[in-house]
Amino acid sequence: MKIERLIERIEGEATLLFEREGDGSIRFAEIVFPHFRGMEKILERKEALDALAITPRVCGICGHAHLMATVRALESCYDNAGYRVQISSKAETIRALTLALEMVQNHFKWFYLTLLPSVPGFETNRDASLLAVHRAASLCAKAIAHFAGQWPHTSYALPGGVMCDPTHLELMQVESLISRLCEIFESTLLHAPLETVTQMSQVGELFECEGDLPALLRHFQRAGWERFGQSHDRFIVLSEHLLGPSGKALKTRLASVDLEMVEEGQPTSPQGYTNHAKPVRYKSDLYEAGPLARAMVAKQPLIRQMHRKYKDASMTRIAARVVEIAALLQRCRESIGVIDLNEPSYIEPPVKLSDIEAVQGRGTVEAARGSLIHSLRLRRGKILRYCIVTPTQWNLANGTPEDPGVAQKAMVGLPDETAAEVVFRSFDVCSVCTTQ
Amino acid sequence: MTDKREAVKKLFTAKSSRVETNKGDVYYQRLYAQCKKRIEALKTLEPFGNKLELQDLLSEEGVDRRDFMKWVSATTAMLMLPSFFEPLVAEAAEVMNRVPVIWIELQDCAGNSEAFIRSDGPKVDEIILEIISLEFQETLMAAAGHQAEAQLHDAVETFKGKYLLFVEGSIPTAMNGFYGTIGPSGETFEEHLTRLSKDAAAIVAVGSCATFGGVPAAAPNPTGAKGVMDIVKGKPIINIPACPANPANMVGVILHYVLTGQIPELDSLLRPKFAFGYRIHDNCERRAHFDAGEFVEEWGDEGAKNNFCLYKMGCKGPMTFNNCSIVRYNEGVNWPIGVGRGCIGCSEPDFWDKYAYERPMADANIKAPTGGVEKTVDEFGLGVLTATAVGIGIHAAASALAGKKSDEGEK
Repeated sequence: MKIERLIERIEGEATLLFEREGDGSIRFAEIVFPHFRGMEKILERKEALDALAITPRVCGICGHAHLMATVRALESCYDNAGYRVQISSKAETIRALTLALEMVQNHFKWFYLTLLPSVPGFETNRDASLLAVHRAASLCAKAIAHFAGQWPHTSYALPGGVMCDPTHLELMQVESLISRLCEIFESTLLHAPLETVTQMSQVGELFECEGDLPALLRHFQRAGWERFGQSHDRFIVLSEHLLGPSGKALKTRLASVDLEMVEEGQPTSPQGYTNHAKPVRYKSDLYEAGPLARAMVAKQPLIRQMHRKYKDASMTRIAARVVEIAALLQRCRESIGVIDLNEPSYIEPPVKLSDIEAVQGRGTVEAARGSLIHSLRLRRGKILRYCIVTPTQWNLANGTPEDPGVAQKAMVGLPDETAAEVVFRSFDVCSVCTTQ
Repeated sequence: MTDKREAVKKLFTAKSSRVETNKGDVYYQRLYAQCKKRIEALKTLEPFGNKLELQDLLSEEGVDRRDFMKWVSATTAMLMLPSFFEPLVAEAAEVMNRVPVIWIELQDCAGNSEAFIRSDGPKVDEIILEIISLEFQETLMAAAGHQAEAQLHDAVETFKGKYLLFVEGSIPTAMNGFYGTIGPSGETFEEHLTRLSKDAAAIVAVGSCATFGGVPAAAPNPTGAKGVMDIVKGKPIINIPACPANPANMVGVILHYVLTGQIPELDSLLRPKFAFGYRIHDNCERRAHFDAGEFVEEWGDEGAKNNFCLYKMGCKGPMTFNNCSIVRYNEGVNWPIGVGRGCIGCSEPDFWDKYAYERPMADANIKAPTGGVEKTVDEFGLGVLTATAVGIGIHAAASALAGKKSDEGEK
């Protein structure tokens, strides 16, 4: 029996097609993304630096991550051509700070706007939390705007640094915005000081706390959902990030990653639906990307313990994303203190990209939803080819019933579509970036 | 080169801000009476959907009258109305929930929704989220899937002819709409837009994609992306370009409609003049440096540290019509030029292809979007200007005039 379910309240739209067993449980689910813009094609033949204005427009939520991936890809072009691009630690810190704030706003919104409304029977003060989440997102955007001029869609970073030259006044303002974000976190998601949250190592401690996250986890437990959403138990993190190293984890066994092993395929839909999401694999295996992957590779004690108990269930995935907010905010607070305003914001690269005959480069970044790769080929500063592999491609692309994709596998065996939708959303779906 | 620079300087320092901000006492008295009548009429209506009252919400949230009046005052100024309209604007904000809004997302990145849901003003989160009657918005609403489809259907039926249709995203037309379909029926974006436009009071195209095709329409336009005004005919259309569009301008359009029952005065590209009536350059905080010939010569130089003009770094402010130099972004915190990043001209058509990132305009061989920087929006907008005297109620007249915008704009 086939059931279609249209999934909105994400960036864009997806359709889930369920095949069900006689008792109504999910036998297989196909995920279809019907929208497409053709960003990679649009980038071809344009000036290399134009990509800095175009790629942030791939996604209205993770635009800054795309900007950073482009910048790193262009900087790697310099590297590959034998020129060293110097970046001041001030510019590095500002880039990392704004990127972290973009992730924080995403996690807040995902929890309250995307995930919670789909969980049946979970009572929360929706109006109050809606206002809190909008306030949090707005504070993040303001803090980013102090450095980047605006959010969403900023283009303030470029090979060699950043364009802004903040003063002490701006740093103080950002610091105060971050403090207010910490307060919102501590009064909504998890009623405990940030430091306590990041140092927790026992699942029991988390469950005993007050706040919307522990309440949701307890709700999952009561409903008997604590093991729902388990998938391949393989995780990937393609670049170093603020909270840890790159690497892959097979269950809890860690190994390093080599970007050459990433393969992008063609979109499929066994049922013949229009689908524009390209599948992506590492050495022909499927991996999960995102906060859970980051926590597993970074050996985050609390999430590792939760994983030991519940494996890669939706509950672990949800906790990983929320706990990451605490860690990110903590790092943001520390970052402000280490910015040395006397350092240059920008150091001019030794040559112009148009002086380099032919070169290719690749930039990776950990975005809110996981690993993002931009690769490009340039000739005399013009883009010949551009390729974007987004985090949600890892999690959501279709496999087959014998070898299902990450989110697909997580939905198999669930009792009904409602549960499947919650599990699907636990991956923080993004349709606009998946299909670009 | 020096001559060229001098010529450019002369061109861009010419007096260009010629939006008629004072239309005379008679005009405003008449408009005031008309708005008063309109608001009284709206007050007699039951609020659609939500029954929340603005004043209750404001006091609940600890926003005092003074803060609210500050917002009212700023908004009245933004809408280019004289200050005696302030009490009316305040009343209009209170009856915003009498005007239903349906928001659809087509070939988009959700950036405008993102910008909108954290729109500015003191606690305007409340005003927006709680007060306007957002009958349908995929990202914000609780319903999803078939339930959402049903909700959209109900909203269209209930508010036939009354709702404002906000459109985010462009419309792919290549391969019979293959690149964008919606819902279980596989309706194409074009069909979806046409169907929902039919019963709308007016259509507000939000962001560069919905207005001029945006980044999906950049060369080689792989999906055949188009803007709303290239698809929908015979309806009043208001374009709010920029990437993302400024939330203040979206709120402004709704408020203007609540206040007057009309679409605001538009320029030749159907942009509200209150927001797009002048160039970024006209009100730029770095303008004095332009006039003094003080430029940033490369990123991070002494000029950059001293906030010199970014024109030579490729800033498109002198040819971009928008109010971001006044309204700014993210609750007025900042804007691109504030952090030393030139304007990329994102509220002008085809800027992805026309304006390179870093090349100064003088070297880029580009023409101003309206045909020449010298020509003001007023000259171009004359044809459409007359349309705004006609209320949205009289669809045919307004849209017939609006439909001619491109011909009249080129004259």
